[in-house]
Parts: sequence; C-alpha cells; structure tokens
Amino acid sequence: MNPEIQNTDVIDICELEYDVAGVGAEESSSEDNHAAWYLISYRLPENGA
Amino acid sequence: MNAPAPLDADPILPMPPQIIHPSREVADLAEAVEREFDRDEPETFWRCEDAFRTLLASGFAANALRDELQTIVDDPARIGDWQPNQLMVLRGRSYALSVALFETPRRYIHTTPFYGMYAPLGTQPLHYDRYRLPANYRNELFDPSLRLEPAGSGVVRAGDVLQLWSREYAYDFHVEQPVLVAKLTTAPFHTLEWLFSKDSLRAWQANDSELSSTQLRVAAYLLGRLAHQSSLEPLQTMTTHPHHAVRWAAIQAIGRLSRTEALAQLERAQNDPHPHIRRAAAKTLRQLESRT
Repeated sequence: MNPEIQNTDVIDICELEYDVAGVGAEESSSEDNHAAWYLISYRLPENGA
Repeated sequence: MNAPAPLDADPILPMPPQIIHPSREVADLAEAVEREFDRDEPETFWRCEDAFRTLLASGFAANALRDELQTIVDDPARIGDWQPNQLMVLRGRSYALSVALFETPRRYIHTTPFYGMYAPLGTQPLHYDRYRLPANYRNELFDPSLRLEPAGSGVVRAGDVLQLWSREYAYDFHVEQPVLVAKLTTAPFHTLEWLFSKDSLRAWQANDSELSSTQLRVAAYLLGRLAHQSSLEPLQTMTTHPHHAVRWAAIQAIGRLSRTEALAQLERAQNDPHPHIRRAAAKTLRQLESRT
C-alpha cells in the first residue's frame, strides 16, 4: 500500500466504560477526561503529594 | 491472546542514577538505595529508611536549594528539574528524591501508586488522614462503587519519617500552613492512580500513574487522526502494552487506519485480560454488525 495514501474507511471504536485521565488530571467529571489528556505535567516518576 | 509484553521493561543498558544536586550525602543515599532496593520486590524499599534518616539529619535540602538558586543566578536560562512545587534532587531508574512544598490541600484523596517515605523539613509538622483501600480493590480495574474506610489520623514531626503503605492505604494530607517535605519514592508499581471523593469516600476517577502512558495514548490518538499507514506497525505494537488504556487507545487509532486490521484487533480484544477491553470490543463489534 502506498504509505502516502490515507485511509478513509474508518471504524468508530467506542470508548472504554471508564475513561482513564492523563497524568496530572484532577477533573471533576469523566466528560473532562479527554481534555485532561493534554494536561500533561512533568512529574516522573511519581505523583506529587 | 498472548499476555501483554512489558513494553516499558528496563532497557538492557544500566542507567546510573542522575544526581541533580551532587553532594556527599545525596550520593551516599543513592548508593544505599541502589544496593538495598530491588524494584521487582517493592518491599525492599523499606530497607532504605536508615539511609534516608541519615540524609535528613545532614541538612541536604537547604544545600540542594541553595545550589539550585546559585545555578539559576549564574544561568537565568536554566530550566532545571522543577515541578510547580517540587525540586527533584535525585532520579534513579526506579526511585526519586525530591523536596516538595505542600501548599494547598488536594481536592480528592489520591492513592499513591508507589511506595514513599515522607519527612517534614523545618518546624511545620505534617498532618494526615489515612484510609484503608477496599478489600476488593484491584488497581487496574477502576470501579466507582468502591469506597475508602477511614483508618485513623497521624502527625509526622521534623525528624520523623512517614512510610506510605500504598498497597493498603490512601493518605490525605492536611495543609493549613505550607509544609516542606522531603520525599523518597519508588517508581509506580500500579498503572492507575485512583481519586476518591472526600465527601462520599467513593472512587471518582482514575489517572495514569506514569507519564509515559499518557504520552502513548496522546500519540495513538494523534496518529489515528493523521491516519498515515506507516503508523500501523507501531500501533500494533502498542496493543500489547501492559496498561489496558494504552492498548485500547492503540486499537481505537487502528480503527482510523485499517478496517481489516481493526476488525482483527477487536476480535482478539474480546479475549483481552482486562474486562473493560473485552466488553468495549464486543460492544463495538455488535455496533458494526448492526450497521451491516
């Protein structure tokens, strides 16, 4: 397959029943979790207080 | 399905600890932890307490902070190894030493997906409440019906060390005044950090415990949106990651790249070790069937 050709035959795959938020997220609802993916705080290898 | 391969296993090459603020006392601690602590046996971490206490008695924190301050004065462009309220002093492959300022109480009670030893520095003691994790708590399986049980309160004063027994308990720290805390912690041994409501004590949310998991999920999401066929192979590799949310993010991204491969992955995912993945795969396949 030509790697430059992009596939338009996509499958919509559902979300997990419980979303997992990103490191550093403390959102109050699961709806916020996708946005929380971008709230990456640099805190390796552990998680603050 | 084969058991997920440990993608995040240690590289073959050993990596020496990164001592960000070199001093004799910090080097001594690094040596002791490297000798005593085996990340495959997390309980060995407690053997490091004597070395941590020796470090605390040395006044290392003031030295590290002075050193950092001088370095910033000498080089204003320096970024350093800071988080908003924490200075990293030492990073090993499976542990870290930092000095943190606990300034504000947290909104939720967090589980700690790692072992830790916390010691207040200066005159302010560290007050905390402790909660027992539910008997049927399984870290990788978030369940909002689970609830913490109060298990007492405590206070740690200068010179004392609080051991965080994170497999059994969650801790909530009171912060009426800012408290400076020295933290010696292991790398996470759980994939998730759970958050519990302070009012109901029920589980509220789970976060990735490792930054790399978040990064992989973000990368999978973006690769799916870019839909370039060259991304297929790395995404296939990600479907064997130990963290279920990373595996699922990879499968979702494959759904935007190759229908054939996505269907194969969904079939396989019906036998995934994680029940949330099994159910989501079955649900998606049912939805696809109903559309044909």
